[in-house]
Amino acid sequence: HTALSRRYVLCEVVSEDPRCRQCIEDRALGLAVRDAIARVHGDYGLACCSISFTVKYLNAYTGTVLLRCRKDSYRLLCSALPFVRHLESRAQRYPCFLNTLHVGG
Amino acid sequence: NILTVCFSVGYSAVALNHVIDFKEKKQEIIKPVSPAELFPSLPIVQGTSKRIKVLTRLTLIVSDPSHCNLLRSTSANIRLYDIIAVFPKTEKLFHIACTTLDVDLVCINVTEKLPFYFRRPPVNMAIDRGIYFELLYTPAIKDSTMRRYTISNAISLMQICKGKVSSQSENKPLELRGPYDVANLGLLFGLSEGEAKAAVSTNCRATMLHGETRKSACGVVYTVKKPRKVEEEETAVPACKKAKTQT
Repeated sequence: HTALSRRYVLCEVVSEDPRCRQCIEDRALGLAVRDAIARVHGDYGLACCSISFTVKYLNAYTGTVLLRCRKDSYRLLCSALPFVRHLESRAQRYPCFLNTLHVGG
Repeated sequence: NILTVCFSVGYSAVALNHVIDFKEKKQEIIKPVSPAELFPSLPIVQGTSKRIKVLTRLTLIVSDPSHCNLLRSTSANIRLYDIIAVFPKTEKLFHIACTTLDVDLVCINVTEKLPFYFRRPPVNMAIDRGIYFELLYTPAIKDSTMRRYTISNAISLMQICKGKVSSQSENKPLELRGPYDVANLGLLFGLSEGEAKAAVSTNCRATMLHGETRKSACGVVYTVKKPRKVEEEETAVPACKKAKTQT
């Protein structure tokens, strides 16, 4: 009987351009994070992290994002987060970075 | 601008870096900019009630032994900086920096194939003197080739200096990363979780204290009794003044 353990990573989107907040939506964020994981950890990393990966909550006004992943792959996810450099949505791309605030179970 | 980002991201102390490259002509060490002039009132660290510390730091890029004379001279301006870092470009200078130079940090360029190999004796000596090694993490974020070089050089650096490392960011505000994320980068560079967190917190604090002891010419500022780890190789302790800071 294996318990399905998950890790929740709380981060905030930091950007110089206030229009970046428009891009804070689950699809754009999910793509940006997945792309960062693929760049840093390759196909293996992306495949591991994709199990149970989802953007659980986000608030475009405060720029807060809650990501969820499996306990086994949270290190792959967390080590790839510094490599997110921009958010893209509706053909608009704004440079930004993610600041990890807390990781919880 | 970058400082506002630093403050908002949760750093409790920031050092303003002034870089001097001796390859260029006519390099003079000027007095550091006083943080009080830049920030009439410093913001408070997130989550506490203390104010953010802003320190001044000098980085000397040395490619020739004659450049080090500046450090040995009793130039008044050099003493005004809180932290002094040196960036050696040759193996001989790396050796001198680790063993004799009065600095707090030795910067290592991890973005290219290193022109020299690290040897254990000077590295151990530097660790005993309380000097930490530093690498820049921003190139790894920007470019894929840089990332590969950074990670492989960082891993070999970590293996040899037992994780006594701190990290540095470059100038652009969007290339900065928060403390938690820099610690995560440490995991990629081969540090354990505890070492990675230390690289952003305790090691930096130790460097600050090391700078303070250097400025005030005392031997010890802060002592806490701690069980000493047994080192495999016994290295000769240098006869010169040893500033020991352990937190």
